[in-house]
Amino acid sequence: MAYRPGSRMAPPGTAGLPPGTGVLRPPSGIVAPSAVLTNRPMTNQGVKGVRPVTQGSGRAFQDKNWYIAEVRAKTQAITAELANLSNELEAFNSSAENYGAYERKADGLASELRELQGVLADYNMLVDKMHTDTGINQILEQTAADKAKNDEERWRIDAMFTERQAREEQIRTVTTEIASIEGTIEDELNQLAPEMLAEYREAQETNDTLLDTIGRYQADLESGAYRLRSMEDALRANPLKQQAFALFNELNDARARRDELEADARDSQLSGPEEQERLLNKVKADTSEIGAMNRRIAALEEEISRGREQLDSLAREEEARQSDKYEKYLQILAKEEAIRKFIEEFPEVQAALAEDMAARETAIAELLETIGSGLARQTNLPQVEQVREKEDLLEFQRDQMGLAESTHDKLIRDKAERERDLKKLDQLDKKIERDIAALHKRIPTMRAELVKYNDIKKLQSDARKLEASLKTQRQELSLKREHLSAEVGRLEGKLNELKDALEADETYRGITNLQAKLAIYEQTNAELRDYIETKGRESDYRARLRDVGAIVADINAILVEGTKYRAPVL
Amino acid sequence: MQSMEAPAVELEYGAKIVLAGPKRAGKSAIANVLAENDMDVELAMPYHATVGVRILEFARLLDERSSMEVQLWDTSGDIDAYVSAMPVYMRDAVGVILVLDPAMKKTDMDAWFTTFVEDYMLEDRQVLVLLHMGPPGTTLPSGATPRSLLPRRMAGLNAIISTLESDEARDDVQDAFEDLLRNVADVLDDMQAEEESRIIQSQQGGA
Repeated sequence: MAYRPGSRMAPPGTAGLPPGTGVLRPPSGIVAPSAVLTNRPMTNQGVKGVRPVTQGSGRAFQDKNWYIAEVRAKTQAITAELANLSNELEAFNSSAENYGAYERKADGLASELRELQGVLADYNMLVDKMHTDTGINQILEQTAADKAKNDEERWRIDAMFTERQAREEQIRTVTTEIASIEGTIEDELNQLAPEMLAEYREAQETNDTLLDTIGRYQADLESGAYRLRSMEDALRANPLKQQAFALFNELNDARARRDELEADARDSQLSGPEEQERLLNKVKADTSEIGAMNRRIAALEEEISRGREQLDSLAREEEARQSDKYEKYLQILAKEEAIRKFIEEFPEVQAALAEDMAARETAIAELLETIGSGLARQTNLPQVEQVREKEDLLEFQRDQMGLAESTHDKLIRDKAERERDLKKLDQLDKKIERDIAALHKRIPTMRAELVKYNDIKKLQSDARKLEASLKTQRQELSLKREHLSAEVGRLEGKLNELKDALEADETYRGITNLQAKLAIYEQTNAELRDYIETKGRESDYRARLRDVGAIVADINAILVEGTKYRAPVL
Repeated sequence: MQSMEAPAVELEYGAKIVLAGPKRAGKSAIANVLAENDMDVELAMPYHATVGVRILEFARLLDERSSMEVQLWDTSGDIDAYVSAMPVYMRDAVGVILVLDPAMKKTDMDAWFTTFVEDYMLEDRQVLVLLHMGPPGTTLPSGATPRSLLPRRMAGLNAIISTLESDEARDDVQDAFEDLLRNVADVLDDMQAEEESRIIQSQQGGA
C-alpha cells in the first residue's frame, strides 16, 4: 500500500518510485550451503588421505561419572566465560558513560575554543590596526559601519524568519484545506449511487493495473537504459566501434537530408498555385515568427539594459560606500595635518624669511654704498698720460729698488764674512802675544848662554878633557865586569854542588813526599767541607718547617671560615 | 662729465626707469602693479620700508610689433640715508616716475623734481608724475587737477592722479606708464641718432 498512490492522485510519472530491479528477489529455500561445505574435512588428495583419529592414552571406558564430570567442567567453563562477558559488559558500559562525559566535555571545550578564537581574532585585528597606525576615529567609524551592517542583516534575518513563519502557517492552512477537501470527496463518494460506486471501483482497479503496467514498463526502460549505458561504454572503449558509430550517424543524417531533398523536389514538381500558396503560408509563418522573435529580442534587450543599469548603480553604490567616504576622510585628514603643520611651522619660517630679507637688504645698502663711491671716483679720474708716466716712474723705481735690495743683500753677506775674518785675526793676535811673552822670558838665559858660547876654544878643551876622563872610566869598568863574571861562574858551580847534595838527602825527599800528601789531604778536606756544606744546606728543614706552618695556618683559617657558614652537622 | 656728453645707454637689461618720491608714498605698491606681481599677496602685506632699492625686471608690450625690456628701480624714499646711492640710482636712467602725495607742499614737490630730474638733465617727456592717493578715504579738494596741484615749473609734465583701489584705476596707471615707455623709446632713438651723427662728424673732422 505504501508504493501505491491514492486513486485520487494523478498517475505517477516516470520519476516516481519504480520498483527496483533485483531488489525484491525472493529468498531461496536453501540455507547457505557454503557454510556446510567449509566444515567438511578435506585433504589435497581427496577422501583417502583422511586418517581416523586414534584414541591415545585416556579413559578407555566412559561411564556415567565421566560424563557428569565432563558436563561439570563445561558448566564451569561456561560460568567463567559468562563472568568474563559480564565484566567486559560492565567495562564497556562504564567506558560508554565516560565517553558521554568526555563528549560533553569536548563539546564544552570546543565552544570555549570557538569563543577564544573569536577573541583572538579581535586581538589580532586590534594589533593589525595598531601596526597600521589607524586613527581611533577611523576605527570608530568602521565599527559604526559594521554595526549598521549587522543591524541591517539582523533585521533581514528577522524578516526572513517572519516570512518563513507566515509560509509555514500557509502550508498548515493548505494542508488542513486538503484534508477537508479529501473528507468532502469521501463524503460525496459515500453518497454516490451504487452503480456509480461500482463504476468508480472498477476505474480504480483499472488504474491499479495500469500503474502496475507502468511499473513494468519503467523496469524495462531502466534495464534498456542500463544496457544502453554499458553499450555506450563499450563503444567508447573501442575506437573502431566509435568510428563506426560516427559513420552510422553520418549515414543517418545523409539519409534524412536525402529524404528532405527528395520532398523538396516533389514539392517543386507541384503545380504553380499550390506551390505559391504553400510558399506564401511559409512566408507568413516565418514573418510572424520573426516578428515574435524580434519582439522577444527587444524585450530581452530592454531587460538586459535594465539589469545592466541596475548592476551599474549597485556597483556604484557599493563603490561609493566602500571607498568614497573613506577616501574623503583620508583627504580631509591629510589636509588638516598639512594645515596644522604649516601653522606650527609658520613663525619659524617667517622669522627665517625675515632674517634672510634683512640680510639681503643690508647687502643691498652696502652694495649701493660701494657702487656710489665707485661712481664718485669715476667722475674725477686723472688723465691717461699722467697715469702712464707715473706708472713708468713706478716701474723704474721698482727696478731701482730691486737693484738696491740685491746690493743690500750682498753687502750683508760681505759683512758676515768680514766679521768672521776679524775673529780669526783676534785669535791670531792673542797667540802672537803669548809667543812674544814666552820669548821675552827666554831672553836672559839665552843672553847668559851667549856669553858662554862666545869662548869656543875653551869649550873645545873642556870637551876633550871630558872625553879623556870618560874613556879611562870605561876601561876601568870593563875590567870590573870581567872579574865579576868569573866570580859568578864560580858561585854557580858551588850552587850546583849544593843542589846535588840536597837531592841526595833522605830527609829532603821525605819532606817532599809529606808535603805532597799534605797537599792531597788539604784538597780532600776542602772537598769534604764543600760536601758537608751542600748536604747541610740540603737537609736544612727549617725553611720547609716555616712553609708547612704557613700552609697549616692557612688551612686552619679556611676551616674556621667554612665552619662559620655551615650548619652544624648532627 | 663724459657720460653726459655721450650717454652710451647699453640696454643690457632694458630701459632703466627710476621710481622716486617721499617715504610711504606708495612707490613699492605701484612698482608691484607695474611689474604685475601678485597684487593680492602684495597688498595683504603690512607696510615695509624699502631698504636701498628693489630692482624689478619685466617686459612690456608697447604695440603689436615692439616690446620693451624694463628695469624698474624702486628706490627708498629715505633719500637722506642713501645720499651716496643717488648716482647709482640715476646712472643710465632714461625715465623717472615721481610718486608724490597730492597733499605735499609745492616747494617739496619742486625739490624732488630738482633732485631727480633737473640735476640729471632729463627732458620733460622722460618724466611721469603720479599724484598718488594714499589709503582709502583720503580726498582731494574739489576741482583739483594734476596741473593745479603741481608747482608751475612742473605743470608741463605728464601727470595723473592715481589710486590702486580698482582695476580701472590700475589700468589708468598702466596706460600712463606705457605712455612714458613710448616717450622713453623715442628719447632712446633720438640719442642713438645723435650719437651716429656725432661719430660721422668726428670722422669728417679727422679726415
